Amino acid sequence: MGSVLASADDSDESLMRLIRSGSHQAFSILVRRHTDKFFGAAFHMTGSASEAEDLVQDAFLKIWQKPDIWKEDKGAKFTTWFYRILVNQNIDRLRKRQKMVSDNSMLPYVADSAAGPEMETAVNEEQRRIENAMAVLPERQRTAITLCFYEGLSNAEAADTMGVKLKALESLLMRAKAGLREYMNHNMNPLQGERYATR
Amino acid sequence: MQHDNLNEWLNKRMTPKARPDLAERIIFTALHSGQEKPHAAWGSLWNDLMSMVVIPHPSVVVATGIILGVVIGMQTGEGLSMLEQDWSSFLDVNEGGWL
Repeated sequence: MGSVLASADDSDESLMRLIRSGSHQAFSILVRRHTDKFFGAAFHMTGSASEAEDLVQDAFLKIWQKPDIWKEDKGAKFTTWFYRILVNQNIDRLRKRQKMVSDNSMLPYVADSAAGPEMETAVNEEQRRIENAMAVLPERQRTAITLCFYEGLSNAEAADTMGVKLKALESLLMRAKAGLREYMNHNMNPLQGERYATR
Repeated sequence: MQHDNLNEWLNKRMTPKARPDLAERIIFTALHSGQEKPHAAWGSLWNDLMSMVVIPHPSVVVATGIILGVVIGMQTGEGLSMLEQDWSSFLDVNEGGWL
């Protein structure tokens, strides 16, 4: 078991087969290949860098500890399937603790910014608004936006990932965009101050 | 800011980079956590039982059986002759009619 050597050229699906037979090497290749990509998706879902790291780690550990949850015969691509793991982990996380996203979530970005002080302030303000706008969306709407807009999944793939019908996903997207527009209309004028969008 | 251009606005959203050691931390944590073995299904249990019963190479088994039979048979034959010898000596001893 686990004696078959994994290669960096192996497809994700081949690596999952090896992981099922206990290959930690295959798991390492898969993790190094996809961590940054899935961290981005997790950040868009959570709005927090530290929570995104926890989410990605939990999702990868889940497929290591229970590799049999990967059903190859279903014909799904590994990445599409892994989004589903991430989404479910995120739902579990939210159920465990209903944490509000704070402005501190963008601190890692601020620290890395190479822009000048004035530009940095403007950019950070813009980022803060976008993060706040996303944070006030209900979790399912935020996930729909993340999958379709930021991760580039088709509506059908996103619906499958979220375990909802296509019509339901389209409705989620529509409501999410309406909520974001409302937020923009209410909060883009600095004199008005910020208000949360209605859901 | 064009409020009607939602996509453009959302595209400005920046994503912080993951810490460079995140992947290695995940790999390290996995190394020290167990991997759940798949539960044995009834199908695989039945296959295991059948593999104990089914003869994989019948011709080899028959040939081995014949060879072993001959060898054991020859050994048993020698034993019988020795018994016969012992019995005959017993009869010789009894020739006096005391038994």
